Amino acid sequence: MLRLVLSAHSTPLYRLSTTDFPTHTEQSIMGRYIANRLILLVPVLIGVSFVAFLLIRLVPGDVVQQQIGTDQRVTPEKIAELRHYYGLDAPWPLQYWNWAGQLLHGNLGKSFRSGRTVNEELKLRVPATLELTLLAALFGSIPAIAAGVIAAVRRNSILDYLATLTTLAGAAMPNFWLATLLVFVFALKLRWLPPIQYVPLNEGVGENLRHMILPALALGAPLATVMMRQTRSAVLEVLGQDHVRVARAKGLREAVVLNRHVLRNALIPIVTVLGIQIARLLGGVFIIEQIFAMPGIGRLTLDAIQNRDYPIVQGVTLVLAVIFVLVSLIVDVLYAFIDPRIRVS
Amino acid sequence: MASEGVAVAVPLVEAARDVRRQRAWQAFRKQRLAVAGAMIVALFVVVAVLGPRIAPFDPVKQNIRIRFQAPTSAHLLGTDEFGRDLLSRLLHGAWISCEVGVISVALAGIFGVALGLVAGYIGGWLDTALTLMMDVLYAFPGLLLAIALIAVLGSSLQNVFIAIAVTNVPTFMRIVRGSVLAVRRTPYVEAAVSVGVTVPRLMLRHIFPNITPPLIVHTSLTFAYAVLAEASLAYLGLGNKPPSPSWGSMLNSSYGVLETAPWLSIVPGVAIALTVLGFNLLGDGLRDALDPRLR
Repeated sequence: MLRLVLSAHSTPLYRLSTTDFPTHTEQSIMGRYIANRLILLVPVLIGVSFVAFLLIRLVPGDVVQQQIGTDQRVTPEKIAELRHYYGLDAPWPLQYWNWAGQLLHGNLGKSFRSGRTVNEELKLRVPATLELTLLAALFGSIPAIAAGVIAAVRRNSILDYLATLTTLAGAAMPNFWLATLLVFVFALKLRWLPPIQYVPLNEGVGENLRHMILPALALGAPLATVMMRQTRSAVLEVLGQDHVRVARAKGLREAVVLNRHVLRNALIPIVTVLGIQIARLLGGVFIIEQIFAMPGIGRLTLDAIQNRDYPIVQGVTLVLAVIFVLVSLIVDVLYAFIDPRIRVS
Repeated sequence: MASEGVAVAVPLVEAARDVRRQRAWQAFRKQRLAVAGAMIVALFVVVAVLGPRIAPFDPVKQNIRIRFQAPTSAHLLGTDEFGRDLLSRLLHGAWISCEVGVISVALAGIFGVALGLVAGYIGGWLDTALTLMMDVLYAFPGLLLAIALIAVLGSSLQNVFIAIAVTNVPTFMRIVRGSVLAVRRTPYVEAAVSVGVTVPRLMLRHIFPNITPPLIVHTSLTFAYAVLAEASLAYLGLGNKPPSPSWGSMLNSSYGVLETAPWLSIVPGVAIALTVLGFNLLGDGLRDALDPRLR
């Protein structure tokens, strides 16, 4: 009887969320939740596209005038022709309508400089950025989650203080300074890793990875600090709950308590934060790609800013914001899927 | 009759607020890291305000003969690639960081608080529209929006203020809106409404003073973000124009001479990290002290 009561009390959340399939009612609630989130997504995406549209119109003076600069050879007729070509001579609402129509056909515009479409430019640059972001997510999450768990389990130990100190220092260090220090120590002084140079993946996986370690570490460091902190507090919170106390009272081994009763429950908020933070890594690629001379979309944007190539700036801004919104949606839906309290509320 | 009730209630509310403040102050003083953070912030403010006056040299004056000089008694932190005194540049750079932090956080705070008060108290379609606008701005990750805004508006310190402020308005708005929603049905707000207090006065005199704790915490953390964002933008060449001594641009110019003059990279890096650390510690400490559940 006692065992039955204990088992009932010690039923952890994961049993309700990850191992049991949602019932028919739960599936319909989940369906409604996803439908609601998708409906809410539409005005946000329209708003994001409007901000991206406005960007090019905020250029002081006129985007064509900015392009031409002080070149006296360009006649007013040519300027009018260029303005017409880019659709800048139409009223704003019509410009937005035409531009959004092109967007729906997957056309993000054309670079002022290279003459290539923004889609073509992105296709060339996305692989480097994608690889950098994925590696940074890997470096910034797995060791950090492990350290966070250790810090929570060994609360107030030297390891915990060390983890807290690392988190504080990591959160305060600008990642471009960290990148500089990493290059200084590992590439210039110790010579363990090659100096700044990008080697594409198709020229050898090993060589590519050796060149990617430092940029990925620098980009992933802020993520690691957030993940370590989040994991520590999530694990500490679960460790203090009744079902963990009951599991220990039942005489379960500490490893089993930790794996089965603590980590699985603590992972829910950790995974959520991880999803959002990985999307946020995209905001850090500008500096890291610039420092490590990587041909990704961050560097493409900065070059475009230098050259006043506004369609590229606009296209990249839009694409990154849309990716961020979609990742946030996926994280929200996953969160609702694994935690029934969210979808019911 | 009703006004008598309010007259009695006001001193009680103020007394309760004083007790809360005292408890928060006691809780804050107990946290060593938070006190350390407050000391770092105080030091940063003093250096930023006095720095330009006590700097030993002109921060932009070049002297090619003494370029890349390691720290000496004349130049305590050494000189850079143009022979400019690093300490003087660091002290002037502190003022720029402080200026960016104060102005951009103030701008974000003013707009965010105003929008949050209106959205939270008035509600309805206005709330929906304002929340949607903030959700749109929130959809741009990290520095992306700031970079894009400076790209089109041009590199200048004023545009850095605007860009950092715009990226921070949504969070201020969300915090205030949430807090207003939590207090708008409380007895003291309803009492104020019942005695005919006007909506602007109600928002500013009755609601706003009661939702300040999360705002104070967020202001400290946003200041840290602003310092970091300004340094990042300057590093990318999108902030204050050279030869202005921004900490970020100092780091940028030191990158090519890492091996020969590492102090050029270490000094501004430590300054940025220490300032951000100070504001982060202060913000965390304030959160723990001001939230009764965490005390």
